Amino acid sequence: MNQFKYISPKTKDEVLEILKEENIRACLVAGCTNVLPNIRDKKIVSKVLVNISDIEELKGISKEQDKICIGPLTTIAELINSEVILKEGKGLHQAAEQFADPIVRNSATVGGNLVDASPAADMAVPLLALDAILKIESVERKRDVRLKDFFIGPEKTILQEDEMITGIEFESSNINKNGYFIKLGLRKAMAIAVASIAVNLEVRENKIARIRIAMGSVAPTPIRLTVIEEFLKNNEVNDGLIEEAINKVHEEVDPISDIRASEEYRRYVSGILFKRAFEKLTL
Amino acid sequence: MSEFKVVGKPMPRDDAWAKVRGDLKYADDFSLPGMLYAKVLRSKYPAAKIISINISKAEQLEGVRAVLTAKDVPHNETVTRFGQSLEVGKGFEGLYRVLADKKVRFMGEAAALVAADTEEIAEEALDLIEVEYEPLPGVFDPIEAMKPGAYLVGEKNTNIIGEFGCGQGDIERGFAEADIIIEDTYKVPFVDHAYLETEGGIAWIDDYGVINIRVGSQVIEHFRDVADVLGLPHNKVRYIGTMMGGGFGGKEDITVETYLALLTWKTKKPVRLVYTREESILCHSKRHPFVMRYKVGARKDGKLNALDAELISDAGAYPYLSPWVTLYATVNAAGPYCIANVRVKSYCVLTNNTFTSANRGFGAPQPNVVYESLMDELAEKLNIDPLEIRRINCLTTGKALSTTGQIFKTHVALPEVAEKAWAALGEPTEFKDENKKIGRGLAIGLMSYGRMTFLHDSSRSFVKLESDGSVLIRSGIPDLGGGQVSLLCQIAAEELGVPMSRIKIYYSDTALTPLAGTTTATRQTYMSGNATLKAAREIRKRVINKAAELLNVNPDKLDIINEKVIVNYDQSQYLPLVKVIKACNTAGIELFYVAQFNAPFTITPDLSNIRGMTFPDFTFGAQAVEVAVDTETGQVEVLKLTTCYDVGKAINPLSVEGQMEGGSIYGMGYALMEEVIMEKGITMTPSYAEYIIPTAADVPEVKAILVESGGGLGPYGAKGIGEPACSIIAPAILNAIYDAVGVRIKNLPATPEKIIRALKKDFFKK
Amino acid sequence: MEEHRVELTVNGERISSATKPEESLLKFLRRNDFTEVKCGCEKGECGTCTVIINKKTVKSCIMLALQTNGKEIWTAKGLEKQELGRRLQESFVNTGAIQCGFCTPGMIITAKNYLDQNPLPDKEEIKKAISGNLCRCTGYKKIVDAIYAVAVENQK
Repeated sequence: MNQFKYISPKTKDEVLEILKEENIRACLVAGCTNVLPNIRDKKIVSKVLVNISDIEELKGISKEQDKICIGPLTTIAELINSEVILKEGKGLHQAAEQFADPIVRNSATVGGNLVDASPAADMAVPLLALDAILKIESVERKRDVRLKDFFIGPEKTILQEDEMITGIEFESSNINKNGYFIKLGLRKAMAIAVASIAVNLEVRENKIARIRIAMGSVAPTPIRLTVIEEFLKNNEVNDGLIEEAINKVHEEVDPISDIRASEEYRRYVSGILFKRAFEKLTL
Repeated sequence: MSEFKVVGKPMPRDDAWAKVRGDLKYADDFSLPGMLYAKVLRSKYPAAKIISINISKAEQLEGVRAVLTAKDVPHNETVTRFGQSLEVGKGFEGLYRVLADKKVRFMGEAAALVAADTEEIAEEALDLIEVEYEPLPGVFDPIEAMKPGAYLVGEKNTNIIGEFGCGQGDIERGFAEADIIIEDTYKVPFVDHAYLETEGGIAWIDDYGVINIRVGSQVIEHFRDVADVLGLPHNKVRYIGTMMGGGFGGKEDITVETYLALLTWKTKKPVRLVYTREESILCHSKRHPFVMRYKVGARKDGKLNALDAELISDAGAYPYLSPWVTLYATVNAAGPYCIANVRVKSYCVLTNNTFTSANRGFGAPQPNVVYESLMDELAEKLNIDPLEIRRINCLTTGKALSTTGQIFKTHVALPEVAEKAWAALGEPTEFKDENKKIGRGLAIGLMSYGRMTFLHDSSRSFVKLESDGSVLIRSGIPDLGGGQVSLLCQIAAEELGVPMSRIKIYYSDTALTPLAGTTTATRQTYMSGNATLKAAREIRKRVINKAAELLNVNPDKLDIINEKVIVNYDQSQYLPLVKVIKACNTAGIELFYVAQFNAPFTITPDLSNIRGMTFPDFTFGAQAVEVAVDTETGQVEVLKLTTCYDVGKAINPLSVEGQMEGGSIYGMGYALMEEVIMEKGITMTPSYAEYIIPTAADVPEVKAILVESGGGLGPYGAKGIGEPACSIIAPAILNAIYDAVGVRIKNLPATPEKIIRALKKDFFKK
Repeated sequence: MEEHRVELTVNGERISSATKPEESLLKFLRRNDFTEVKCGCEKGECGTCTVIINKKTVKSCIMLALQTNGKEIWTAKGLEKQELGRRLQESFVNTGAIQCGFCTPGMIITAKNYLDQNPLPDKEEIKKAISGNLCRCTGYKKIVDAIYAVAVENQK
């Protein structure tokens, strides 16, 4: 018989204690936008539902010296309303504006979206391009994991059963301020991305000093296109470069065919998304 | 009578306040003490033998009150009926099977029923029912299913359950005389009604042993079929129809009612069954996919002279309304055009896909996609303007439908609606995005209103004037949100000279309201509107005659306005309505009347050569769109949409506009984004996350233009609009896409991928 | 099995009722006779279950009942207690924005919360604001018109 329990801890440390004790039986719930459908579909059964949605210390957006800190319980709506995010992480801001729909944005959290680890995760893509770092804690230890190393498969992350994300950080820097995000969906709201991209770019004397390219829905996880990043670095920005880069994009992505699109279309349109994001940043 | 008082005026609906306050109780908003919860066990395979079903573990689960399989159903197999008053025969009444017996025909077919104390227990019981299946190969393509030796879906030796033909002239000669011939095949997919309220209801047995079923149904006449299944007299089953949260044809078949009746009859307790969204998408009817092979011939001057069409529809696993839909498609196949030589042949074929049945448009939208695309193709090849080629060929009043020869005695508003729709697009939108190309497209069409005339359709309405001047209406009319109920109030208010607020209507109850026929086939304005008009006018006549006596004037000089019976040439001479009513009551004059309205009655046609009247009348319309196509991603944005129909008379303009605006978006979804993807009978789009419909962010600026020719058969010259409103938009969008980027999509929906595959052929080698 | 209770305020009235850990707010509300909150998909994809919690719109099918302990919820039935709510109701009725009515409770709640925070939107902004509430009947036009009419009134 399907038996659930429910606890509502008041502090982060209480949560960590519960995770230590309950381990695989625990399921953290915040916005619940993915958890409840999974309970209905019997993908989550007989868990201890740990409500963390009211824990203040896990919320908030702040700028500390040279980095931006986002609490995992920050909602997508809060990202949109944040001057700091608009200024320091425009790509992330754009992704937030296109996330799901206005109502779900009030509940869905950045941490929740990352932990759900969909290949299409709309928060993961811009945060990868911002080279975000996750603060991960358990009772035993604290560790920093680069988001780049966080996803290991569809809906799979390196997060251990007794761990939780307690912070998401990215640098305050020129490259991070210069970002662009595009999502291609089959309708204009409540759309799961057919493909999505975030590009962050720093150009110096018409050469690409630094570049990060992240994409969603074109691989088993949200990915950084590191081969192309390497290819583009130190090159002069011109049309020939873009053409070559587009071809490399076609090769580096690893999409599948599903009900929303075929693998060929995703491959093709990845090139377009790259071109458009890149052009927006270099015009 | 001078100008209208309430008819023709934008009126808030009778049910609007109850809905906006959240007071209205839909099918799932009602419960009874001791109510049990039902769940349905559904087949895991699209085609399989059922070797055995073991329900013992399920029955023993604490809290389970009944587990039923086919053997528990008194008459597990009957025929499908939809309220027609005669046995039509000729394959129109197909097999209706309550629970799967030895074989399953589609994934999601009901195999067992459970009623339990809670929903959770019922779900658990489902998991405990052990079914042994032997999967069978099945057949999933109607063309394959037609071939000799194909897997047989049903118990007959063919999968073809309907064959239809019609036409005129000499098709071979027509093509011989054509200067240009175009041949093409178009395909349209399964789509879902996606009404926001799923199927559901509650049933109970009352003090006298009558099974009451409170349910959202477009066809409350099914009470007879449910009674037949249970082996009960018809007067022992009662449908109490609720206001539906959308119907669109999906609540036309029996959905939950037989299951509810069986379970309440077995347990003697109230039982509730409401489908989840996934269940609804999985197992309720879908719109018919069609494969449509067309060949059209025209002369250099643009005049069409030959049309040859072959239509093949996928009936899915059971007949339901498939033969009916296929007949509609056959009759509509040549569109609103005068073509001397026509041949249409259509087939309706069983497969192991989810069964298909009624969906708004009922077989008219599908051929419309083809013929309106072909008209544009011809226009381009002949270098004739798309509007002009339609002017050259369209029907006009007095002409005959090219497929069946039915003569249009009523007004045909062509090319007027096309000209208006096109002109209303206005100035082209200026677009500064170099990646987007703008295009414009037009489509015209026709669709019937009123049921097929060989069904001998009728409707009844009861109207009563109370002693204080308030009005009571009883009508069996089901309301699926199109304002069906409110319409009758408006007509009664008009005829009896009282405000809408004085009218109370009781609707959709087989025991207590005279049956008004089905809310389908865009028939209610026409049929129940006329029945109510007739009843209200009879009462009005009696009131006026009495008042004439009392005032000593001629009855034709009297009018009832605002609850006063007034002498129309001297408004100071009047009697309060209540006074006249009192006088009638005293004199023993009844002020209630139940009227029946009959549609024209014809005989069932020769289905291989359908000739003459098959529908009472048709509504003509046109839609025009402007789109922006992203040439690199293939995404289509509809910028502007105009919709122009001759509605005869807009009894409530707000309602009529609402149908046109809503119908446009219903059709826009069909054109651009909707498909129930089935792979070998398995639904791959199980929820609202995969089956997507337009959101508010997707809709263009919509302009609805009403033409009121007064030429309809409905009250005050009204025509029907509900289904016509969504039946024409898809090819307008396809034509606009072609105008923008030169890509002709022949296979709905026109997804970004399909457009890009056509534009970037070099990239896509496959 | 543990006994769980939710105590909250709905439409200005205090409610206290038993629940289960995994029960959604939607099911909880409907069990407690708030049937104006509709169930359309139970996946957060249609918006018919939308309510307002502490001044934010929430799809109640994807929130746990227990998470609303101590909170203040408004449903469509509570709108008549507030002036903007009443004006919206009247506008919806008079503009013809209601056909089958099933999307209406969720839609009008979204509209109310939106106008509370954005009293003077244009039609395009309104469309975006309601893009999480599906409607299958109206094509959204008259719904947007109804909300816009109230916004225009706001200007006066």
